Amino acid sequence: MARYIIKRLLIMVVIVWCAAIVVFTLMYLAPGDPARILLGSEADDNVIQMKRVALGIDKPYLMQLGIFMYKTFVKFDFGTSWVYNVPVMSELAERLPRTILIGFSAMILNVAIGVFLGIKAAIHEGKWQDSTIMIIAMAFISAPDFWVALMLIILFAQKLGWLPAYGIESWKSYVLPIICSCFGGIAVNARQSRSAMLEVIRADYITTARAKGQKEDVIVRKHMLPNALMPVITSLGNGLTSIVAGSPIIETVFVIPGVGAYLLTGLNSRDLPVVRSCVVFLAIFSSIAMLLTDLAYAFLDPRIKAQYASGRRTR
Amino acid sequence: MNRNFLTKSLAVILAGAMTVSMAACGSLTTGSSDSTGNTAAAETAASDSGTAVSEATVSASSSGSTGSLYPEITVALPSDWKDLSPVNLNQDSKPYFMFNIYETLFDIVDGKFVGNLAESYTNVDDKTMDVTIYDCIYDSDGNHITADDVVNSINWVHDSGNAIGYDYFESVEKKDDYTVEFHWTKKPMSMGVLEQIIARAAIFSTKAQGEHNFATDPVGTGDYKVTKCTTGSSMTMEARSDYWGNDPAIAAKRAPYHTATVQKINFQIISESAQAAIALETNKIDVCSYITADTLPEFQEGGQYAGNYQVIEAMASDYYQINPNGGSKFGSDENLMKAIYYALDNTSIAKAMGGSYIPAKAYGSSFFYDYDKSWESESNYINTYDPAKAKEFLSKSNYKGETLQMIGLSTEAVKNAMQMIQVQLLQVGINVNINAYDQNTMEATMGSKDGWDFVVSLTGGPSLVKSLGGYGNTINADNNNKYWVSDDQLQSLLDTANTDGTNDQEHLKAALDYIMDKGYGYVIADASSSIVATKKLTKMFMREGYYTVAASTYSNN
Repeated sequence: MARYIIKRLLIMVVIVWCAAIVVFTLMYLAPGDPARILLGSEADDNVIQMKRVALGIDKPYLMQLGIFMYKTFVKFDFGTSWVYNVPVMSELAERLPRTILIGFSAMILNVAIGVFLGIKAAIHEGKWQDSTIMIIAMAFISAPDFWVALMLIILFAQKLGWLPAYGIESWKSYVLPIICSCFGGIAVNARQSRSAMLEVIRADYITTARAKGQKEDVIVRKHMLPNALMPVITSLGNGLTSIVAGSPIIETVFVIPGVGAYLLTGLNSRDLPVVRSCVVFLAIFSSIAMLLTDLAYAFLDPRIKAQYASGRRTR
Repeated sequence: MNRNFLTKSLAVILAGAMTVSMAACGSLTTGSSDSTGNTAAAETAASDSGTAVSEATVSASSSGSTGSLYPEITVALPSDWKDLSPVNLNQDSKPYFMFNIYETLFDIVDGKFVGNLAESYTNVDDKTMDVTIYDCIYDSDGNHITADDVVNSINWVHDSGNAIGYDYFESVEKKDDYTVEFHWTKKPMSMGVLEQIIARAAIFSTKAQGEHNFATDPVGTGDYKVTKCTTGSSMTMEARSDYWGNDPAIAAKRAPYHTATVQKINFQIISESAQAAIALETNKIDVCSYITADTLPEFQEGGQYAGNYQVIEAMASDYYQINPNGGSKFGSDENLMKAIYYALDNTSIAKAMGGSYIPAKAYGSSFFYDYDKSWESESNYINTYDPAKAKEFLSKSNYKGETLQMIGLSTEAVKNAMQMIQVQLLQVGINVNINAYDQNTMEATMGSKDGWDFVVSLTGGPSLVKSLGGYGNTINADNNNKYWVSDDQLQSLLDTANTDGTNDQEHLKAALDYIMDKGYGYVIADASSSIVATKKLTKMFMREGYYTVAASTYSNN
């Protein structure tokens, strides 16, 4: 297992380098001169050129790429935002906790509620409970984030006055963004866990367990759930990345200065240090999240663990 | 694989991860941009009371606050200020507060330069100007501002790649403790051409610059100090009790917006207008200028929330216009562009834009002090909707039914305008494709002659003559203006309208007539804003078209 983790970490380094090169190249080729965008259309060519020199974008592609890779991976200097004039890492460090708070809380909620609903729907397959849950899931997945956000604001902020509609002043400010963020996830997890449960519900070992007289809740908890959780774990792994990336829509509507809004502003204003650094940071985080997902497979599924073990023996 | 190698690799990765996380607590730097502007009719000197700045007076009767400050006001802003460094003072949401945090050598009040930090100035010769600042200027950190700080501030803007409008600037040097000497590359035709250097460059303490990151923690000489700032969310600034300009003798010489009227001002970013409306309805904010037209009646007399709020109509220093791309086949076709202008009914376009846009009747906007209302009685393609004349010009043009590319900002107002323009042009047989972009993509698109034929944009400035700066032949190496036109005659007319002695309405009119004769521009509507404000506000103060809550008056009752 240790060998496998080390191998994955080394692959991760290559992946992050590749991601850095790709994002650098894409932003280099993106239309629009960052210097002109920063200074406006009425700046003349001389001033634009001075700005390009100041930003370091007057140099050839390979030289710029080399400087970027050296600073990022050797000096761990992610640069300073051209728009915000603050080091990217320091801005990320300030914004990340807000984004993670929303994303992580929403993920816990959507997994807990989604899996619970999925199991309920599966064990009542074809009955009214199943239909009701699937209708709710369909409604959750169909409702656009911004619309749900506005409806929640109208209800809880305007009509009832229980929660603030925007800002980051207190813990209450995060309640609506978290609820709004978890709707889609609840629907996905409910549908995914329902179909996974249905796959195992008629398996021979379940029939055997029932024949042995085991209680239904024990069968669900001990025999069905571990096998049905694998697809949910995969989606959780993917979800971990979006926890850190944040949601520009949610952050914009609720005026949360998070990573999603930061990246979006960076893209719109061709703030290359912000875009590059955020992508590299997300690439690192995604790779780690994927590794953790794979390790979770091994932890939960003895067959996969056995594969690792046999791999070690063959070497 | 070698075990040692693997161990070392893992160590390097872990060390890297640790360093990355530690870098998150790193330090800060600076550097950014500035907006532009050429020219300006220029009268000078430290002013009289300087009260020519516009005020949107509200019907409520009140004498306003005099001695005591109004305790607290919360203002909604539609966009993030991003960076509070002393550059870009007129960009994004900054004009609403930056001139209360930082101060410049001069202010511009109705086109005239009024001493701000500058107590006096002398033109030593054609290319040398001495400026003496007050000897009692202190910033919010208590640093004494001297000539050294002025030199450093001006040079910092110049050297950081933000020197827009610095064409005349050669150098600045200290003459004595409170006097600096500017050296110009050539004789300025008026003080207006020096605007960016003497009236837009914030002066700050060199010591404070070294101790603070102005991007989030600004230290200026203004009447307010930022006490809390969360980029992307909110900012609070409070009136300075130790403000150097509180001295009545000094205040009397300066522009009127340097006297704080509110103790504490909170700026809250709320990008969605629906959210802002809810914030008003729940009394979370006091002022908002971007409530949509369909929601405004709720805050007007007779509306559900009229008890707490009022709607103040204020003209802005901007106007929406159409400009052809001189570098495109169609944009350079004078007959085609005139056909387009005559085919447009700007009254219906202004109505379609929503809000309170006022259709233009002549070139410019009545907001400007140098605009003459009598121009509106003359017949021109701006105040004449004539499809027959449009077809006449169209028949003389080289247009053969191709599809023109119209570009514009993706704001609701511009998108609505473009849709109406598309329909009206189709009625005379001109096909137009709409391309709506965000500000940055539009800047990038206009940076090339290809891909667009005409643009719907927002233009403005402190005066009409300054708003014409975009027509000047200065933008790129080919001597074109921002619309890819190079016209020496227009440049000469603009120069004349900007030069001391000839910067009058007669010469401005000559430039405007030439612009319309050549079909270089068409004004759709004057921008105005409907500001929803608490009824406690009795007089809204407007600075260069931007409402300034810090200098407005309030009723404490």
